[in-house]
Amino acid sequence: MMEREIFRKILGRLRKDELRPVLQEWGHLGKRLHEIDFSHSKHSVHSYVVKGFMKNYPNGHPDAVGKLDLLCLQKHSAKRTWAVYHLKKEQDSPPNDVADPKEFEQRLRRELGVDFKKMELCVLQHEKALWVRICISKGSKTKPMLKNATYCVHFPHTPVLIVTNMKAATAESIKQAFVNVLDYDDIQDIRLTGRCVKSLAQLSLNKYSQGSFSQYRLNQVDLQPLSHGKKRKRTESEESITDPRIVFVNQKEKKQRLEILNDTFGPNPQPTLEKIEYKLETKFHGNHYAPGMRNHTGPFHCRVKFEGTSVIEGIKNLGKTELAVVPLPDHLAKVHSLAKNHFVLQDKTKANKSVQDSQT
Amino acid sequence: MGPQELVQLVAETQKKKFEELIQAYRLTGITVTTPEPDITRVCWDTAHKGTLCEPYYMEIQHKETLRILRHSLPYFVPLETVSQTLLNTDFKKFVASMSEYLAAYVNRRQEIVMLQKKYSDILIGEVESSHAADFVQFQLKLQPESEQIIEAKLTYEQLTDIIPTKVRIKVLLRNSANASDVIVNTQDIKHYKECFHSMELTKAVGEIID
Repeated sequence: MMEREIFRKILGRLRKDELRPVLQEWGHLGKRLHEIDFSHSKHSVHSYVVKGFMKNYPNGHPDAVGKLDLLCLQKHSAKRTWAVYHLKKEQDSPPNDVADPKEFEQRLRRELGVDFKKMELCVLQHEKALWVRICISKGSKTKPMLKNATYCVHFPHTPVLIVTNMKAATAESIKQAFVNVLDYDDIQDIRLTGRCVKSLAQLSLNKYSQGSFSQYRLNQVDLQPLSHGKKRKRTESEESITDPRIVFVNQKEKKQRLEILNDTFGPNPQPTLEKIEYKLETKFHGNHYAPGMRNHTGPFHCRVKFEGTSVIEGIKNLGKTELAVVPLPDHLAKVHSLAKNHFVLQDKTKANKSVQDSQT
Repeated sequence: MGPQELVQLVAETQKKKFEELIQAYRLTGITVTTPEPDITRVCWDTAHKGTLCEPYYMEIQHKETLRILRHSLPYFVPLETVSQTLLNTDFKKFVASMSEYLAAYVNRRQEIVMLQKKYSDILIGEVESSHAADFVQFQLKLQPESEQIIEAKLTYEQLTDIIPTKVRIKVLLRNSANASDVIVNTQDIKHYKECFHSMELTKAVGEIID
């Protein structure tokens, strides 16, 4: 009975048009999938699915729930907030990475089995990454609960792990399991969070080819040596002046502004980040507007948050629409290459400079 | 044609000649240019069986030491490890090492593309692979009308390998996930494994179905 409710809850997350392809990939209905009429209401379709599954597996199936949950998450990963972790290695020996999903699952199960006697584990390959679902039960006699599931995305041969929904009680064990399986020494939260897994991966894996250099990564610059003709340069589309009565007096400045922004951000769409946060620990610099603060010598603690559907694109548009001075300061212009969205800004002192030098 | 127009024409012709020379230079596979006084740009042009594929770039700053500023290499290439050892000690070897990783990756990836194209009638579903193409999994029928299916899992342990180092073969009956439903000829399985261990992917599959 409990399993029926779990299936209904998972299937309820999918749209009607998503049901058939997901169930096909799930594979636990077999020929019964063709007996389901998907034109019926969602509730009816869910009932048919549950009945079909129970007929195929009267005693249940240990991996069915996990696999279905993971397939549904892959369709709607943007509904959760993800955090990026970086695996660290101190020694020179290469890490022990594995690209085979089954082998990865076996290794992870062995590691997690040391700390947890009852758990569900599922690893699937999706969009060239390994997606992992770990669901741990609180007691040895209770079944793992859906809401306790932790989801991770790992890109083989990289030290990057993207995680969501890690409970405090099991976080350390899960992190340590990944460190052991992949043969690293430590794992660190790199302060990069968001809802779009693809963008988080792009920011952390391709940090050396963002901005204008993204054109090289996407092969938009040079044609192949043996082909003829020229590659059309991607430029921002300019406003066409249709009304001859309108005269733009600052065309030159506008063109310069766009060139600078193009050099900084490139012509391609920016990775999607919903939030960038700056924690300021600098001295107060607005004495002209607040003379009363002139005698304030200590750091002025303040938090600035940019929020929106795509904050990096928004920062670029601030420059485009002349709401910000161009060239933008480094902490705004280079944000696409820093692989984080939580920053601490401090005044440049000797102590801070040596800390910055040791971190670069 | 006036003298100014003639001068312009000569200048344009010379410019075109230089551009063609640079393009010809790219056919060597590795091109080094200097877009700015203290920045060197290396371009690796990749190819597979005579067909040019995509280029990869790296910009290196040279002040007191060489430092990688930007690059478009795939994220699974062990750039950090190799650059720590070779970038400032043997630059030529560093460039050659990156070339080896890129050539192997493009080779493995294009073999998968060729396999999907050439044997689409006997492949069941898509060929699944990792981004680095170092793990490949597929199912194929020995003959178009055959009920027997071979499930192959190939692993390339090093990212510079173009022949798989680990091969796992299962023989199944269509509509059965259970390998024990089939009477397996161990000699056949040995032959299939030998094919995958000794030749590139598409050639190996061709050898198996012949």
